Amino acid sequence: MAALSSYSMSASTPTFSFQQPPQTSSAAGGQTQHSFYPYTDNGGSTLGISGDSFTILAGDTRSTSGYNINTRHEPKLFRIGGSGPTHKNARIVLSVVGFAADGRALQERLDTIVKLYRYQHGKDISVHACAQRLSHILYGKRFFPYYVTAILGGIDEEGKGALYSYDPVNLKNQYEPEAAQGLGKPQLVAKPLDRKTTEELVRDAFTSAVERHIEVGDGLQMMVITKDGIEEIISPLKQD
Amino acid sequence: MFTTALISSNLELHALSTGRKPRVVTVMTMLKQHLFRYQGHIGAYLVVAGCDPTGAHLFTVHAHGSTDKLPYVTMGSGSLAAMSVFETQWTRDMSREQAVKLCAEAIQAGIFNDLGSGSNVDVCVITAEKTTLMRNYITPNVRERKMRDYKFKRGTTAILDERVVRREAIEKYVTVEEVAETGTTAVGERMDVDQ
Repeated sequence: MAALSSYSMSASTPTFSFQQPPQTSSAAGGQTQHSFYPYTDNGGSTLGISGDSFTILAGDTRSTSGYNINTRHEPKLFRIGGSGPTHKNARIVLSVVGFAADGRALQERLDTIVKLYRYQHGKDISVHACAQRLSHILYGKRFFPYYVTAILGGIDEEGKGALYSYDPVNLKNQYEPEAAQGLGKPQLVAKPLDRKTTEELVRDAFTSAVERHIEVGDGLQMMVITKDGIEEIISPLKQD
Repeated sequence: MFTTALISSNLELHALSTGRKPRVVTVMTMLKQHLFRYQGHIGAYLVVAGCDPTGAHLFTVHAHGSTDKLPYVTMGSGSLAAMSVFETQWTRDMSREQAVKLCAEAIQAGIFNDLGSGSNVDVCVITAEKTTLMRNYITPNVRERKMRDYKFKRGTTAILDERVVRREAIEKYVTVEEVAETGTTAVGERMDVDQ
């Protein structure tokens, strides 16, 4: 049986929320201390990239805990708003990585708020307003945060691609393309990429991540947001 | 790595001093005594296998010095996945082909279900006559081709300044010394593994 329980990396094995044994400390007169850590990291990666008339959000579909795979098909990208449970006519997408349960809770809350906005005001929420609202939701739980890093993407009022990224408690930045610096060469001008190039770039980014990180793999979920709607593309990634 | 090299050296000396072929149990005992002395601070976990005059043997040795002698063993983070395959498919007196296939199958269970294991399968078969290492016996995870080309175009790096240094200019910094031939050059002993 000893051959079964032979982890050579025992010192760095991750611990999970429900697997913490009570600790007896000799320093505190042999008192037993119980603890509960409410978060786990379910791993994975997401990314967002915006163009002139579209925004692409992408994420892998693997969910992990420690060295185990929970499932190979757990989406990290969610449509926000639209009508009904199918999010018909939605134009905003939220991506979440970190603790999957918090991610789902956050998605559900933001979705409800965006839908209520339409019932109350008779029009769809703008991406900018939605992004600001998400920031407030996150900061509202400043002292018991949603353990996620989020990206919000959509199409703004002018029809241009819009992207916002967040840390667990706040809005971090609104993405603005910047010109690259060069030396002894004519200054490079930042110009938006076309959709095909961007999709290939996203796919390549993920095939690279799969080679370099164990928590990324199984499937690639890509959502392309244009003024005409959201197109979802799911393609396979390596399973090892 | 150091532990195996050390034991390998000592085993060779042991064989020379006793004048007999070394045994697998001897290796295992030397390893466990060495590891036990260091109370687990030498973090080596090993599978020891081989053929000697007493037959074919299979052992596992843990960092604290404990050992197992079993018909099939697994180790590492993928050991549970691999052992689940062994426990369901292993039978007594398997043929060489069956055993190789089962081992590859067990490793693949680790590759796909354990995040700590990945990519390819190596298989090594040890018989009384020879050791056959089949490197990359199965490669189920070949890297996917990129969709775009990410090579920088020639001339991307700007040339700010250019100067030519001729050989005559640096010759004064170079001294050439003739060294007498020693005759023989040392040659490392090759390991007994066929290609």
